[in-house]
Amino acid sequence: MMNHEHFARKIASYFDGTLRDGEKTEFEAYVGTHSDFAEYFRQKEAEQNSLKLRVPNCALEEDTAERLESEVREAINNLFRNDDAKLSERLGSWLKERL
Amino acid sequence: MRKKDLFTLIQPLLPRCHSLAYCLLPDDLQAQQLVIDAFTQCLLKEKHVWLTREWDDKDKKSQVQQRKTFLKSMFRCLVDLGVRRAAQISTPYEGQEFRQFYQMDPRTRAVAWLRFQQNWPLEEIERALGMKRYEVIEKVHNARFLMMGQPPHWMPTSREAQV
Repeated sequence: MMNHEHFARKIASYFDGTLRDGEKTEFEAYVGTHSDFAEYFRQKEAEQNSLKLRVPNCALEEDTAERLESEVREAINNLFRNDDAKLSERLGSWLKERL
Repeated sequence: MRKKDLFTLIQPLLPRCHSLAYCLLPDDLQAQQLVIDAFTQCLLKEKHVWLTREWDDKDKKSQVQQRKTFLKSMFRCLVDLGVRRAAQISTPYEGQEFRQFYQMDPRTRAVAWLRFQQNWPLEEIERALGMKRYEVIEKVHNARFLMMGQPPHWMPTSREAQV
């Protein structure tokens, strides 16, 4: 029972991949050799998988996507426009120096 | 990189960016604005990098890599900006389905979204959001317990609190 508690505390770390290699092997061996703990582990695994459903994954609606895309296009255009303006400014001063 | 290429790189990332933004600010318009602002900030910060990068229409592997890189910078800007904005404007979540999720603080929500919805490993979250390892672990653990309706391991249970 003591061992059950010890390994039960490691379940979350096992899911997050934060156990060291040795600990991971020891944990998997314990699950593989203790059927009652394996059942508890599977229950925790199902809970872990259900977490995805508790986190929103807001789907982008068509009109929102269109609006977002057009705003992004504009931001890109502005970025290039500023760059082009700076380029012509630089070219202008370069020409002034030469003429 | 040309204008067209930059848009091609960014367009497929918009739904995911919007989804993360909505986790930070549960209001459609505010989430949209957050994506635009974070995008502008991200481009301005790394403008020289993106304008000088090559985009090969045929090299799918390089496209995937470039998108991954851009997405990480974008997520960093989104979370930093979104956390600050969430502290300034109150955006209550009106629904019931994700009530427990929206009771957590915005940065924990972002970490939970990356870990549980996108299945990112902890070290990727750590690198993308510029957080310390222990902070990411703490937020993932707290989010796991709070979303399951249990107190985190460090919080006393109601019976323990009474004693």
